[in-house]
Amino acid sequence: MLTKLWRSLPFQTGFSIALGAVLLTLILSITVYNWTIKKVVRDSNLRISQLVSTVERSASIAAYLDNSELALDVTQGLVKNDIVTGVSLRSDSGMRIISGSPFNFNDDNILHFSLANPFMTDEKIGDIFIKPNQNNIDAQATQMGFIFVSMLTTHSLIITIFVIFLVQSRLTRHLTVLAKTLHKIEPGSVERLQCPPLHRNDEIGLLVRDTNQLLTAVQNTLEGERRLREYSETLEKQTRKEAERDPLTNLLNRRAGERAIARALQKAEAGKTRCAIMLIDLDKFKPINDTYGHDAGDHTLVTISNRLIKTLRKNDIVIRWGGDEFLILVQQGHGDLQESVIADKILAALAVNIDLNENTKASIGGSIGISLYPDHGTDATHLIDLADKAMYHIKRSGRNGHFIHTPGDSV
Amino acid sequence: MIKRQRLILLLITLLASPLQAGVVVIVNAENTVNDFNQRQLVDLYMGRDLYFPNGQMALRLDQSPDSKVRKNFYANLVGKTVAQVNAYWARLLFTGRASPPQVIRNSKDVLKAIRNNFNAVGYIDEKDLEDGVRVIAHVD
Repeated sequence: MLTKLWRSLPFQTGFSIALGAVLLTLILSITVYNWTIKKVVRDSNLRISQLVSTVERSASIAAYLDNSELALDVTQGLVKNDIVTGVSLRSDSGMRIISGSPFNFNDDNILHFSLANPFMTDEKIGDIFIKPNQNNIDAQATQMGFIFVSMLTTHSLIITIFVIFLVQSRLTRHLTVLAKTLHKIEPGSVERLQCPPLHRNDEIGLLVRDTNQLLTAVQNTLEGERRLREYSETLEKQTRKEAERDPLTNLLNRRAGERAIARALQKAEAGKTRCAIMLIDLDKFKPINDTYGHDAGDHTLVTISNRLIKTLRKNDIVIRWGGDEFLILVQQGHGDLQESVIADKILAALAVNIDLNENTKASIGGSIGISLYPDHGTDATHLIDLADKAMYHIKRSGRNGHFIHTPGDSV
Repeated sequence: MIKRQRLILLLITLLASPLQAGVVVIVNAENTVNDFNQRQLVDLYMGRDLYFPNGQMALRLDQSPDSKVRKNFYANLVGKTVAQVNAYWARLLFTGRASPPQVIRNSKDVLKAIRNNFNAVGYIDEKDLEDGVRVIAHVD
């Protein structure tokens, strides 16, 4: 979570700005604080100089006359100011007057003023030494420094917040939204990025437009590929169908039929169910072909095919086996395999007249030979062969009927 | 010797400034004090040093506050007006150690006081100079 936050652009931006502001504030604060201390000391010294200049005349006279009363008056007056803690007035002729706390004249912060002879100003006659009130200076420096630094800090803080807010609202917020939206968009989908209304003409707008162009290009490419795939699949399906189906009747052709029968028998073996293989040969088909032509023959075959499909169940297999021969595999349903009933149904369907044209109806029938799996064998070829023999048995014995192979029956 | 000195001085002063009336500082003719330089004179009159070099305390005489000679004396000696000098003494009054010169009404009385007092010292307009006193300094 933390790593995620750390890696996010808004956080990084904000953090960098804040860090910069803190460093800048720190450096400026130290500079300002040092400057403040210097200024306070300078101000204090200036005030002391001004104070001294107001009593300079009296101090000079005191030093001139070695008048300690006047000197004390001067030094005590100076010491009363809160910026001064100690004053010493000395005359060159030996007077020493000190007011306030004693101090070392060699200290760095001691202020020194020369006193001139009041009547001969080019002649020095004494000195005043003043010790400034360090506590007062420190307190003032601290107070002023604190005010400056807190103003600076507040200032930096406000600007930092403002900049972060600006960057966030103008830039990174949109980038974050765009990144998240883009992340969710699947390649090839119709979804597009939305451009924030105020950024249509800037870099964000450009980014959105270019990204959308890329998305469109990707979508088009994928779409084209999908169409191509669909087309090739359709083509393949059609080819396979053409290979498997008899073009006239749309039934399975012989080759595909053999495969279908093999599969059905495997399934029957696994499910321990029974199947019937029925070979149908149309009666009286050749005369129709001869008399009414191939179109009529074709029409008859199509009609018969449709009737067979209609009569049988969906999972039964209907194959165009040869010219006017059909092979059927009937699977056992929930109940017993009722091959005879089915055969009769088929015969009934075949018996219905066929309209060859407006005036001509043809009546055909069929001969059905039947073999049973697994009763008569398990091999498809063998079973078909048995059905074929049974069918010929019907043909010979008068047509339009069915015959179930009987083992041991020498046909 | 002294007379000759005095004559020479007199001659010099007469020759030097017949129009510009200088101020002379005088003592009793019997006083053997050496001539005063300006510093000695300032220290004497501004109260820093109240004694002659021989240890005798000097009796300092001032002229009337309104007098021209007093104005000239202080103007030339310390570059201050009579009022400024008065302010100086006033400032020192509260210390209890103010010792301003004694004020004498006019030059005649100054001359008289000096003739009568061995330790007196005063100043007069040069043209009012008389016998019985000795000039120890010229202030101009």
